[in-house]
Amino acid sequence: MRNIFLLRYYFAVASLIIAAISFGCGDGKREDNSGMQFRAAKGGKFYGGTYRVNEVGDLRSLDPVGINDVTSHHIAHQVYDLLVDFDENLHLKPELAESWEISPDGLTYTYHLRKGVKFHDNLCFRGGKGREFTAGDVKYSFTRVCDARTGTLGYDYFRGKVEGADAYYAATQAAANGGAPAVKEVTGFIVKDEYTFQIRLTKPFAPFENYAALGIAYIHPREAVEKYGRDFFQHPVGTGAFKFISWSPDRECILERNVNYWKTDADGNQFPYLDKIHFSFIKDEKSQIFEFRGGNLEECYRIPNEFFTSVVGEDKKLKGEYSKFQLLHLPAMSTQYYGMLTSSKEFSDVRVRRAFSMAVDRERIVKYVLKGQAYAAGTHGLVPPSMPDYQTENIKGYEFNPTTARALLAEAGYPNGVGLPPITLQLNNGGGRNLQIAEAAQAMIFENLGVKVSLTQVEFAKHLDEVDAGRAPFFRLGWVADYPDPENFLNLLYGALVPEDGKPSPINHTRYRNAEFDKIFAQALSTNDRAARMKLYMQAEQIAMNDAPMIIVFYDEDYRLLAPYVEGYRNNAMDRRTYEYVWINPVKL
Amino acid sequence: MTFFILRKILYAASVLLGVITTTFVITYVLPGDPARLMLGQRADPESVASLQRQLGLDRPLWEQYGSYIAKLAKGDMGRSFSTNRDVMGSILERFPATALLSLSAMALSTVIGILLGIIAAARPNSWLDTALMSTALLGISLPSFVVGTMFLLLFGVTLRWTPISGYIDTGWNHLLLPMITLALRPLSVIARVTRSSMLEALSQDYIRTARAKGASVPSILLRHALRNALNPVITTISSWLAGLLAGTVFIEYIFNWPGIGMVALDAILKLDYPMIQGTVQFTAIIFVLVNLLVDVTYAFLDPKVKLS
Repeated sequence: MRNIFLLRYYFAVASLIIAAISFGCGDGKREDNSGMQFRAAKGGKFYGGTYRVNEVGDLRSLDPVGINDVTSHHIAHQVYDLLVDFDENLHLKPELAESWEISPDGLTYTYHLRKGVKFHDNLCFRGGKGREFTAGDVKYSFTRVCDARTGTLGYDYFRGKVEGADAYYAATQAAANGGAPAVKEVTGFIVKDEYTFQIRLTKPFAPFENYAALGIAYIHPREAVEKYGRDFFQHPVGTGAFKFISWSPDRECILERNVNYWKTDADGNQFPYLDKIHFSFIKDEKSQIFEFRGGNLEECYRIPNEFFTSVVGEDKKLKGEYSKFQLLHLPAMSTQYYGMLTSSKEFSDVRVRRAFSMAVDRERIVKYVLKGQAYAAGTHGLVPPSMPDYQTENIKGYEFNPTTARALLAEAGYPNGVGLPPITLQLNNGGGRNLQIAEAAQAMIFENLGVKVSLTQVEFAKHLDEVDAGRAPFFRLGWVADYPDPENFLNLLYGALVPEDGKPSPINHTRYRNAEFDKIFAQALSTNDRAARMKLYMQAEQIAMNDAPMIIVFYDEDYRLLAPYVEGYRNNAMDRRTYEYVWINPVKL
Repeated sequence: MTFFILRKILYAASVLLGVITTTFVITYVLPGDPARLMLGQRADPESVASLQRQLGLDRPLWEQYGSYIAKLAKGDMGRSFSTNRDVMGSILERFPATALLSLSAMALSTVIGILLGIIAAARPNSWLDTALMSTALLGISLPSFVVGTMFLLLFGVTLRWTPISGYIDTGWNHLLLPMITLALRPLSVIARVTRSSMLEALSQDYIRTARAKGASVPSILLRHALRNALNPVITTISSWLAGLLAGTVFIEYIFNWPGIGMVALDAILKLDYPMIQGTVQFTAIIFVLVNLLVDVTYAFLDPKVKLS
């Protein structure tokens, strides 16, 4: 009898394995480039090959209105086009809009659109052939961002800024359970003619010029949304250099060359060069670098901290068995800091905040904790050095100065920290280096000020809740730019964003207020002239830094490894990926 | 028998209802706001409130629970907050990967475990027995994430015998490391249980009789002793089988195996309530079903079980 049971068990196991295999098997072996046929292009370049790249994050959505994460943006950027995009130096450049102008009052943005651009061939179009893109598609795509029924994650960008956006959002919210919204359109999105699109703002807001280059602004056709409905997020259709082929969650996403792409290079070759992009989703950065080293990836973004010194030498060159690869590194558009809640008992006195800032030796943190994996110690302002047209080096932050720090603390009435309430530095968990840095800062504050700081690590969601609500007087955060305008960072110090009644303050977490800063910052926001705007931002930032609402710890640096045969990679400080320029050199394979 | 099965089904249903309720309450009290997390660090409070409304998070707990149960009764587990994918669809899409990993690991551990147990029992207290049982003890004691990482570094990175991560669609050898890592603990347990059960069987009178009749050693071990020693081994296998189908989270994460464990882990980190509830409940269903099946099979095989 027992043998019968065992036999049944094995039969069940065998059938389930077979079922699982037949259900789970994909389309064969992952391609590498060794046996591929490449086609010569002008200028010594080559067409062909598969580019294999990994994302450690999740691909959440390929519907532009649902894109607010890095991974989705990396992939969507290959499938869709924008009206304008950023070049390698993060200056705006024409894409689907050949040119654009801003009215002298800063209220109207006019985009002149490219003719003859076609959407990808897709079943959503009549006969499966992609039709021409027009201004109506821009209006449709932008309107969806303001439509509450789409589950938009990008409406914050247009709220209160675009004429009629709020009314439309409210109407679509009211119509969420069915029925037509009382407001039919966003009046500020205007189709002037088939190839001219206008946006009207409610008030001048100079950084708005960058919004057409955000992930939410990818241009997509109505037909695709209507055909795929709620599943449009996994059936994207755009005008980009690559067409979407498939997405298998947690495994892979495959894109294929768009043979009708409108862009050509200086030699007259049609972009893109690659036949295929294969995104994998290995979550662990260590596994990612192993896969890269083993020749299973063409690109490896970021080097795990514990591997860094064995991969990159002090001269910032690759070493050992990694020296055969290419290394790209540049300052990232992000800043790591410790915020001090200016409305709290602990940190309401500017002298205490300055003392804390001077007690932390950032250079040592960069050298010994980060092992050099940072662009620079945070001795200037919040805006990182990679910000184009902005002179971060002219902002005077805080250098390590324990003597002055002790004196300031004593002057504030807390000699050697005596009398200060207990202080806890709150961190989010995950990211091993955050804890290591915090432990170093904790030791430095104790050593130089005599103040005992305890550390607490909480889940990221809880961390944000606590910081927003003002329940974490001393907290760690990192800020990454959405677009290359200092406003993106200095908003964190803007008094107008602090709610009066003690409600959550999700942007200005330190609840810092300075009337002079606010006045200059507001003036900058309505100054369209970029150079003049930068000047105003710098003035405002210096005022804030003098008040030390945060300890700027360090500015990030991005490291990227490429296979030796990868050519044409265009790197930038915001890690915006544009694989249309990349080609594989078969000679180096 | 019908009454016995009905009783078991009723018991399984009540366990599932308990799991559904507990999961729901636990996700509700988790710290943090999913809407805030989805909208990111720059989220405006108005947008957060609006998204909370859309997700139904602004309603009282009992109301959310009621509508969740009503949907669940129709087989609708909702849509993921994070990816907008259908929860049930996402789980079913990944279940084959988890099933393949668990069942192959279980098959491996059953075959090797029983074999090692028999070998150890055939020469009790010999150096071979001591070596096998000490290794088995090590296999039980070492956490799977430690073993997995060690295997990955040794076989995947240093020796390059196996791939480091990925699924079988790019080669069968992707299954090797996660399967062996996952099999190690049940294999060790099965080996130890088989050994002790075999030793007990080998000390029985009928074995002495068989020896006296001149039966060969393989015949004594396999025909006479093993058949009678299998009962506790089968119990061990079935309890491990349910456990493995339910939990391969660490292994899936280490080897980037696209199964349910990976989804569950992501869902927890992102406060994706529907996905957390879906994965936990699906796992509970599998666990309960496997146990139900084992109970009923036992009742068929051994009437004593039914009576008790």
